[in-house]
Amino acid sequence: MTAAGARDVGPVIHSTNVGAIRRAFADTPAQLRTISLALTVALVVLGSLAAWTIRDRADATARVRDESGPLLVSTQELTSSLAESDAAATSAFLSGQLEDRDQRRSYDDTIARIAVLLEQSARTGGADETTHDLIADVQARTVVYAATIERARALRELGEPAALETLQSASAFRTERLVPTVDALAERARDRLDEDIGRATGGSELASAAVVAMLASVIAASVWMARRFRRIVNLPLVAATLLVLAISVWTLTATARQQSDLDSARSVGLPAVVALADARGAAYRLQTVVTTGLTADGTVSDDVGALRAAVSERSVTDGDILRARAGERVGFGGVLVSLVERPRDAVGRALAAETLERWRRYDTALESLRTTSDPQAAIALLSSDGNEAFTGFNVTIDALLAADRDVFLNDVARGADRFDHLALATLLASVVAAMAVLAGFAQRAREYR
Amino acid sequence: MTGRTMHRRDVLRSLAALGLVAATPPLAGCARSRSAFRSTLGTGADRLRILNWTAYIDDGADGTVARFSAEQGVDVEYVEEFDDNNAVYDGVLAPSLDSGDATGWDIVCPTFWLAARLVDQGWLEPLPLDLIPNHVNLDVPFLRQPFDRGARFNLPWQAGITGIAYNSDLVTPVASITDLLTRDDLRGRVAFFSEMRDSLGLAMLAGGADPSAATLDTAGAALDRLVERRAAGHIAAFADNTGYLDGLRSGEYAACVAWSGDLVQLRAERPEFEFVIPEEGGMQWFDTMVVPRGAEHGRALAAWMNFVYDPANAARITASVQYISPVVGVRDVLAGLGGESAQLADNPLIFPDDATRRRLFTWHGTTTDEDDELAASFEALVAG
Repeated sequence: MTAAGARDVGPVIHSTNVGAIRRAFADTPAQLRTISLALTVALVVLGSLAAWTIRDRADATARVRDESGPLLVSTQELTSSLAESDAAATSAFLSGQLEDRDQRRSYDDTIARIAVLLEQSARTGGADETTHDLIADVQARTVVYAATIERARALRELGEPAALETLQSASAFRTERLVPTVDALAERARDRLDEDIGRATGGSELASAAVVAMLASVIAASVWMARRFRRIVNLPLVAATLLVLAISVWTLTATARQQSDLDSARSVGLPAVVALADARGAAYRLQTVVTTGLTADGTVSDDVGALRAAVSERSVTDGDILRARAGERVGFGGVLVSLVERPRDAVGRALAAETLERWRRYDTALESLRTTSDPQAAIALLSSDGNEAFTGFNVTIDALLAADRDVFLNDVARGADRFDHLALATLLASVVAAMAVLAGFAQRAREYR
Repeated sequence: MTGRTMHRRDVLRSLAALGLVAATPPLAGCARSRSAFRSTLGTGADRLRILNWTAYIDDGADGTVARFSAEQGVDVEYVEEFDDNNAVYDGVLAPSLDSGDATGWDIVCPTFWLAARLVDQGWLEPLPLDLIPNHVNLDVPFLRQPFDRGARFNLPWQAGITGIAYNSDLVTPVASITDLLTRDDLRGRVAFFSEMRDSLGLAMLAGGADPSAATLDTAGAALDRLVERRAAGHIAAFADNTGYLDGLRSGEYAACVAWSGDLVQLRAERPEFEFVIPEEGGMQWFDTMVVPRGAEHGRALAAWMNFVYDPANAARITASVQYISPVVGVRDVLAGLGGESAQLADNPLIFPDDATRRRLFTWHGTTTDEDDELAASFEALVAG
């Protein structure tokens, strides 16, 4: 085609378009046909847009429910389980050459739990290569750590003095090599959760605008039809309007509730899970320091006072426990107190109050240890009442963690449920409404003739 | 995505190579707890239906049920028809819960291993802990059970020890399971339990195996041993919870496997009976209160649990049934009462000291499928 030819074609096309438009609106049947076609296309396009947006958001919410949410919970539990394993391994040393079966069982249970958590993390890791690399690193380092503990155990059974040194090297390995990797994994999990929640709650304006535009279109068509044709009721159009209204209400409500569920998960359940892991980690560090000190030279290290204060700034009283149960502010410092003060339902508050009570029992045992001058008596005290009280505190923390985890995961699951079938329903509703519009306009055209 | 996705078996394999992980996961309830869980517990406060084992509470006008009813204004139907874990599971729990229906019971009291299975199946309501402040009195060993850490789904009722009972008028002391299984003077006068974990557990201990880390192999070897002893006519019967006491009283059994609480009670009237924890070790167990899904009377059952976890009320139950109480403070209450109650406070079968506890084992380690496989063989043995 030459340049001159191109110049010649322009006016022809322009005049053809103008002619077509004129013909489309030349008489009333033509107007009806044209408007119905335009409305049909608009409904299908807007419906598809809304459905696609909802589907994208639903997928992201499902990822929060099935992958990033459980992954983050698993990594938090991993952090505290590693601390627990160290405390349990160290406690098992208190019983001398003849290993205490309960202590040993406690350590074995913890290692088994770590294995379960690693598997859960891998299963919920999705397609993220970094996550899986970190999980593999944690696994490899856990094996090294556990092997070192086993070596220390074997040396102790032989009565070798190097046993304690080996135990301490295992503890150091955990602190310097294993925990940082777990922290990196937890950070990665948190980033992924933020990203997924962002996607799960984003795009709501687009979906809402699309369904509102659909609704506006069919209402406008109904109004135009009523005015133009002396308020005669067109049943297919009324049906289309009601259908689009229903899907609009459903979409707007589901979107708002899903947003609220995920906001709740992010602002209530998740911080509680994180705070719990922090509090438990602090308590385990304390238990490890106490046990290691007693095992090494029969004394309680000076660090213990600061570590106790980090968990709970002062001794817990009956009033504190009652306030925690009532959901009132406990009112002093320490990671445990800030954990207890987090908003929870009645069962969660009851567990938080019990956690405080069981901490008080452990704290009382620590105070007795501090004032015991005989190292053997101190070891005996720690290996009986002290360990039992610590276990009680630790297990109650587990129960509280489980309750907070359930709240978090239930919020996420509820949010995901909000979009069940909504995308498909929106698409189908837009198609059915479009067909009803076509039928309604065709009926009017026939009546007009 | 790399090929580095790891499965639990990979991790377990690595750790198992170090001898760190037994065959079984200790987190039986983990799968359930990961999923969204919505309570279906009712809020009824005026009625309560409890299904418990026989002779497991102080009865009468001043008994626990009567006092609770009077204090709380709750109409309690306390039924002592829990005779066998498997029978209750198959006849009462599974038919309703498997189809999503309520059982009609607010509280049932299975043994711990069945409670673990029920937790794993998601058939239990979480306890309304906000209404049970005395939950804090639960003793730590019961709080740390792997199937329900923190006891959010179960609240132990009583615990006990499985050991050996013998009639000192008929035979010389029977100090070990090996004696019970081999001594010629006991041939044909010995009974074991129809409760699989007790009988197999003791037989495992006699064979040097650890029932707290049971495997299909070690349990199977113990089962073979019992089969051989039964075929040789040494074991006369595998008795249930009432049958063994009848046989002991009548002299049909000169020695048998027995539960500590029963023997403490029996000895009060028949001091010729002795109970010993075998030299190889004894089995420990507990029965526990659980709330099946869809229970109607949530407030009433919480009030009951709180009531029986008050040490003063728990002490009355202990004084009557003489099993191990899971409630902290019971011993102090009994000691404070003086007289016979104070003597109970010093009984190591009711309040085991650390040395006694170290000799006790709780069945642990086998999977549900392995349990079912063992149970099928064991039931054939019991049936004769």
